[in-house]
Amino acid sequence: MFRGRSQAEREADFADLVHEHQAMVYSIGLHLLRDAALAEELAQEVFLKLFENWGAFESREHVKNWLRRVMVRRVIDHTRRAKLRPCPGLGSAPEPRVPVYEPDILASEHLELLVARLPERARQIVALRYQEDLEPAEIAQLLGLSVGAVKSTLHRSLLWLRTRMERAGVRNERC
Amino acid sequence: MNDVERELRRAFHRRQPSAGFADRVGEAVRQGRTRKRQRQRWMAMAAAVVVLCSLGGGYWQVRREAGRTVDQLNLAVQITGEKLNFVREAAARGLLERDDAGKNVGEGNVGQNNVGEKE
Repeated sequence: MFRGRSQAEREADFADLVHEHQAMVYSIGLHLLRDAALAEELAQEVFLKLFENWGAFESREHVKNWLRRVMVRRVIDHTRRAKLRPCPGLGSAPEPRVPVYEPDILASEHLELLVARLPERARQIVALRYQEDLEPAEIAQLLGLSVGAVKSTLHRSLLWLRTRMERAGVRNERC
Repeated sequence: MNDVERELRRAFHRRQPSAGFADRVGEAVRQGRTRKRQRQRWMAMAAAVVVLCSLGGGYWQVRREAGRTVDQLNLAVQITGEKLNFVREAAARGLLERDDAGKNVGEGNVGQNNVGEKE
């Protein structure tokens, strides 16, 4: 799709794609990691990777799917690495980056607090289902799970969320 | 779609990154390209240095080997010369001794004959 174009045209195409998909890529990171600065950092890395592989894409749809898949992989890799990393003491902690404190966007409402309490895998599935509107089969392919596992996790997560919301009276207030 | 799903869709709506994100990505791409070009230049220079060092090292090695071979050849020539000298001296000594022995034998016979003749 982008082969045989001049440098300036390629840069313009790339800028268009960044504008078009930045919300999707960033939101995947934000909803899965719940850290705005980190989500931006990973999103930037993913777009740089896109530029490096520029000649390999056949269509805009291909680019979109690639971005989604690579961002999800990055987030999962980051989460795994963060789990393996030993917790440093406060003395060895680096100076916090600016902004010092990112408000937790998901925790602003009760449902979002509940979602934040979901296990990591369940949160990934819920986020991909309701942010990206993906079907269970697509989510299964992205996360390397079986369709059955995705469906059951989704079902259990919704049930748990509904129960908690009803218990807290959120449902009645909203309806 | 039930109420929870509706709420979830609202909670998970796409959000925009902070202002200037696309510009920062563009800048990172440009920096990456510059860095890549610099890296390629450094790699080329490093490769040239490696090639030159290899050639220099090879030349030095050949010269050292050649020097060693010449030294060995000189030593061999020296040893051969000494051996030849020794053999030549031994041969000369042997010849002299044979000549002396020959002379002595001849002189003895003449004397005896002379004695007999006198008697």
